[in-house]
Amino acid sequence: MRASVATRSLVGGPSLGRATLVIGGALVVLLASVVVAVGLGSVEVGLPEAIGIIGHRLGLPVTETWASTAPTILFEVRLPRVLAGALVGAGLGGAGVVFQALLRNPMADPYVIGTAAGASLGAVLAITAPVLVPALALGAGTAWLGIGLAQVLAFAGGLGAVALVLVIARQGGRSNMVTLLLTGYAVSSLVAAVVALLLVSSGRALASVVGWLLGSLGGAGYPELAVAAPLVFGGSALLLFRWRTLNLLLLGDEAAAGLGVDLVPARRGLVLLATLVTSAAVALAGTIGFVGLVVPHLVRLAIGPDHRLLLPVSCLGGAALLVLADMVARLVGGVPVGVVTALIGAPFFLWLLHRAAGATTTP
Amino acid sequence: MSHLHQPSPHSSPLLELKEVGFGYHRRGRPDREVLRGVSLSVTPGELVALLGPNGSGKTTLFRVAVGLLPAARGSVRLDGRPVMDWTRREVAQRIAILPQLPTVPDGFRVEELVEMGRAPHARSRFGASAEDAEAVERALIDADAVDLVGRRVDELSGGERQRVLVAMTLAQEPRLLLLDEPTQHLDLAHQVALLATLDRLRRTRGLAVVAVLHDPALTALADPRVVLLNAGRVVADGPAAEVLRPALLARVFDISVPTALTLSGGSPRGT
Amino acid sequence: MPARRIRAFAPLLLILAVACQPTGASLSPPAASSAPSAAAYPLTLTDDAGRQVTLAAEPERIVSLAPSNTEIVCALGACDRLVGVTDFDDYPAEVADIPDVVIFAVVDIELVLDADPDLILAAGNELTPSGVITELTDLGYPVLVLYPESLDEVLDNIELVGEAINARDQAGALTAEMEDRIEAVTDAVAGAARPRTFYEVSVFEGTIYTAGRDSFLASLIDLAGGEPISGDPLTFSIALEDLLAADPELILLGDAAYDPSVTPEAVAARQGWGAISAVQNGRVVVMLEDPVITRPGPRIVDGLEALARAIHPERFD
Repeated sequence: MRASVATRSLVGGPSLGRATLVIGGALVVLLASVVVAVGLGSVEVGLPEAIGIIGHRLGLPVTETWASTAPTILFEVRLPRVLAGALVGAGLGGAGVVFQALLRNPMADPYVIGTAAGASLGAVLAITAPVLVPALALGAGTAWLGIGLAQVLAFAGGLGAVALVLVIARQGGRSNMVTLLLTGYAVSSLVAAVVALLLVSSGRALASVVGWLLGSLGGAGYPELAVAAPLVFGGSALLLFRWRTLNLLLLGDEAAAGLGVDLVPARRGLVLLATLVTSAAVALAGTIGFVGLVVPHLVRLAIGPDHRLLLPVSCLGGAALLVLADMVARLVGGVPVGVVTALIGAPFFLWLLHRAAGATTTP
Repeated sequence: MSHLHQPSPHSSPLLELKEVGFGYHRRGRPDREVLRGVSLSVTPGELVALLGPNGSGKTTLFRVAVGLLPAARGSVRLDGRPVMDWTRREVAQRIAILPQLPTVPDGFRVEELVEMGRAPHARSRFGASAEDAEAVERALIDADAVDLVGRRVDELSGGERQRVLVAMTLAQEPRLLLLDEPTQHLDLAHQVALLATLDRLRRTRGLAVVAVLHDPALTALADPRVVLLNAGRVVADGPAAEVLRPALLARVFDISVPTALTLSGGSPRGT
Repeated sequence: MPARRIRAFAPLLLILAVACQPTGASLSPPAASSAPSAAAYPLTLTDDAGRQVTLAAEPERIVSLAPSNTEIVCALGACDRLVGVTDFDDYPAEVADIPDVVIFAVVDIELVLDADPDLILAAGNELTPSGVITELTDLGYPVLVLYPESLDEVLDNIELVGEAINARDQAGALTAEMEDRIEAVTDAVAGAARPRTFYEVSVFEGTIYTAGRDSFLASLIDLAGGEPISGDPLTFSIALEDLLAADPELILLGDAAYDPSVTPEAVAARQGWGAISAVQNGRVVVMLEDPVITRPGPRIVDGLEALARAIHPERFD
């Protein structure tokens, strides 16, 4: 019996047309968000002027009708911030998808196995060390290759904490995902206690520490972006190719292995890549919450759970969301972007719980 | 239904277990020997029904057979090579396993789930090849699940979902199928249809099937080779008529079986 | 610590003063030997963070990132040159009309840029975050970081700013007047018995905040003729046990300037405080002048005078 044409067309995942539409749509949303976010801020730069400034920078013959500080505001103050938002949002959105699939837990976020705790420890150490040990005071804005010490230690801390969690989780024999989750929670709690201790002893650096923990895109300059971008892009790109494995992992370990997934190396690879991306994002902007949790769910609701599209669209969606959240934070004034994402994310999280409680369970 | 249950002509075994032993050893808990010297050979085109009470080791046997668990004693060979020497992907290209309690994730449609069965063979990065598309369609037809295409798997009934899962397993185009209670949730008509399909596939494509079946009557209907497992040992291995004897069944399953169907005409033969 | 005497040779003494800064960097001498009141631009100065800051021309558009800096600029007669201040600035009255670039202690870089400044006066010790200072410097703006840790350093700051904005004469006159008043205070309290003085900055959730050891506030109390009881230099807190052991003879309530519920009666009623000598002798004084005591700007001498009057009422009047 020949299969109908209808069946044939449903196989093979989304058609090229649909994939283009969805990903193209997400790209358009992101670009629009970037343009709007660069155009809006504390200082009013009208839309025609903003377009003119961009055109002028691109070499087009445009007569200058704007204040001389406007291009500086756009390109030196706002643009790096917006780009950082896109980069961090993309990283967190993608990593969130991966951890939710790996841990088979819809409440998982990219920080859950220790990244946030470790990165916080690194950054807070960097910020408070000069206060605790005056000999270490290196002066304002010391940097290596243009990168601040806090960023370097945050990145190292994020990777280090996850490595520790992986080692500890493996001690119990075969490391399964529940063990990993619980170990991550335990290590995170321990590290968070140390961070709290440093917080109390931070003296004059308290405001900086709290600011970092709440997350902010303001500390990211072009040098930091240049280092973080390849990490986030590279890591995310490699993750994009693993969509099949992520789909299969949802079927359970046994079924996934039965379909050819070599569980241990596959999971290790996914954890490493996702942690790399997350650590780079946290090093750049601090621990901004809810993006990695909420974006995968929103995208899943919109286009379905197939990771072929879910992963790239979550990256693009996360980027757009964070760019817009930061814009709101800037317009309201003095509000850390993590507060805005929490205000969006927490109600959504509660709604998710409510929905999960009412849903039927699968056999 | 055909009575073929002897091995096909080119009969180097597809899967060969020799004196396989396996147990669970955990610190602070008593050791549990699950398999105690199981020997089993499956050749292309064979239909094997695996029967045994709960806890006899059927599921563990499957896991050891595909290399998900390492045999503590004895050897497991796939196509002549130790199963652990193959990569997981290579094993998956040859053996498909349908677990007893599969996890079905939310939100996927029938055709998307069945397509996941193509994973071991998939060659393209992001799309699916024409080969994959055809295999999925064939599998849907064989598993009698074409009418379910387009629907969400988590919205199907137990029986419908089971057919989809069978389709997924068939889409894998293995040479050996390990089915752990494939008839659960299926109504009688569908159970019979499934067995008929398996029978057809093994005749036309040389597919070997080892299926855990719980119903001796149904088993007799399919007339396969029957392997009876009890407490980790093979207590019987032969044609259905020989193995499905009331006395033996009663002892293994610890029940009294008043009658058993015979192969010739179905006149009951009491104990 | 006796105050130094500074008279009319402001430029020469300024060079000396800056050369004696702990940071040690030197001032590139302007054409100071001729007309004392003309500054020559471009000018390179060293600020309190040890940074070299170059001013290309006389600053016409000044942004201040701390209330004390704003007061200094206005005291030097350059209030009209301010184009950006903080929302916390409250003195003199005309700064209310100047746009805010620091809102709820957060520096809005866009607003700073929009004000198009040619001089930014920042605060040290992370009161202006070092990241902000770096960002503004990288964008090419001259940022002068001021962080006085003693009365002398406030005077130095006034003269530094005077140098920067070509108001050296005004700076010299102001610091001279301040020196006179400081000397008057120290003369007035000389030889008096020094009471153990506890300055309460705030009491919050059981933690007592006061002057840190060797802090600016402690040095002011010392100058005003008191023996300061101080707390941990990092956290500025003191445990109640330690306070009781130190047994102050005089308690000055700085928080009473902001919180009307802080009264001598309320303090006496606090658990354990009744044993303190100051409480028993009724020497608990409300310090409404706390804003000028704790703001290291031109009105700091008002603060010093208030402290001296509270510590040694018998020497004044």
